[in-house]
Amino acid sequence: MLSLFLKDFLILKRTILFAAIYPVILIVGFQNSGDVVFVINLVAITYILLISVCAYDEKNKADVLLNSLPISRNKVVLARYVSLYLFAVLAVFYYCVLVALLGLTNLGVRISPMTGQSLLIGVVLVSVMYGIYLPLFFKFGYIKTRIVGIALFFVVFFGLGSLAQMITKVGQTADGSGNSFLQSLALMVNGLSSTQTVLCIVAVLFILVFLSFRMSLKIYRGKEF
Amino acid sequence: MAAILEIEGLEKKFQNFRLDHISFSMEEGCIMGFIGPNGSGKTTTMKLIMHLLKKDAGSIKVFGLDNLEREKEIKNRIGFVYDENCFYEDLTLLEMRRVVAPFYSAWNEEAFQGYLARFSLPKNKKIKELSRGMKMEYSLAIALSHNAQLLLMDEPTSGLDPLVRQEMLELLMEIVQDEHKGVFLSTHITSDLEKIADYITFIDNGSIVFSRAKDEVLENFGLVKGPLVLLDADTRRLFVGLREGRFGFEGLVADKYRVARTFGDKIVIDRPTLDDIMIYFSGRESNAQSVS
Repeated sequence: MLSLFLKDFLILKRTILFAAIYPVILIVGFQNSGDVVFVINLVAITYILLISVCAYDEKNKADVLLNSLPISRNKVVLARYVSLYLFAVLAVFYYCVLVALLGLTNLGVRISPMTGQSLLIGVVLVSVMYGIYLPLFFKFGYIKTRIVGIALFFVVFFGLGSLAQMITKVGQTADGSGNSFLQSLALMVNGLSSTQTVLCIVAVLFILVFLSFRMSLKIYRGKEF
Repeated sequence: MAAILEIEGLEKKFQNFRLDHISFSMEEGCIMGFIGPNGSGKTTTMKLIMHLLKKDAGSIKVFGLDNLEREKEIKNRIGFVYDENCFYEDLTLLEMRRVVAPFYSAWNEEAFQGYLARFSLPKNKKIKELSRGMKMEYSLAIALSHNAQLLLMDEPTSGLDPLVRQEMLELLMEIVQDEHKGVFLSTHITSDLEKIADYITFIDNGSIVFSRAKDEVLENFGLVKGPLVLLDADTRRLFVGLREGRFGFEGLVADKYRVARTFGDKIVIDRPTLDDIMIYFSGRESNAQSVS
């Protein structure tokens, strides 16, 4: 399976170079935006790399090659999910290196370093977006899901932000008398310790990504090339 | 010799085409040519063997093993060459090798380098910069560098110049010198098969017309020419297909010795090419209608 990751990084050589410039612009351009800079960086870099590797695979009819090699379809699908998180790790690592390097200079750039909260939000967004996108990609291919990818990028990005704000707002004003789902959720979230909250989020994400993976697997196993 | 490829009752249905219960087998140590007109089911059969398509019914055994139950093991021992380049166009030859080689348990780097040198392939060029012939040679180099026992080739010689084709045919003949290896090769260019194939399997409209030793086919089939007066309802049945002109007829027969006994020296019998056989078989219904 390592060969599949190697393949992804080899075909992304040029894209990675482009993706390397993007965070620099982001950090310098959005100096007063706090945690958002890190989150946007993580989601955008992962988006660029994942979408590009899907596009390259489709352009080169990679499924014919991969399914002619001695490798199971399960591994092809698993590799795509693992690659997604490798791209995320790369984005985080690169951001931290950039922040460290800019911190050493005297350019006066106000940097927003990575925080635990921004990392968690970034991982949530990446998991939700691509948890939805990847089964669609395996079903319909890159060309047909191109719009979906872009739409998800915006919907999830702004939609989840709004949802979080809504929960927080409802949580702040909730007097306990309401019994709406959002109020219950807000009260529940507010009642948890930060460790419990993180564990809950990670558990939900794990289930979501696992379901997405199972769905992709089912689709890909039944596919013909 | 053991069967290296066995296909039994294989079926696959599409909206406008059906692979209809096809069966044939191939022994190790030989080259089998898989011929048929466009859309007759050659690529579908190849893809079913490689499990790129899912069969509706029937069984496919490679090296005596079920192609689905032992898929990984089988693919480890198959070399494939498709009609279109299936490698990443933006990678160099060596980069692509770095991706593919680790999948095979018996990758032989020395053999790979040997093929690159033999075909004079530029290692650091991108695949998209290669000519069609070079891409095919690169596919062959990959297919032959992991000690594959069965080489599956779908239209490998189409679009290649005669020199490259000849080079490829010579290489295929070298491969089957090892009696445990086999080559299953589909092609439109039947003259290539006349040079190298041991067996011919002919598929037409999703059905196998015949699967026999090439020499037996070319020895028994005959291209018969004679005057129209010889044709009546009984004698017409001897022909696979007929073309009638103003002065005489030309037709293909499956048993030229029987026809020779029937007509004596009133006819001329030539040795048909595989092209002749394919053309007459594929057009036999329209010919029959025009005859009746």
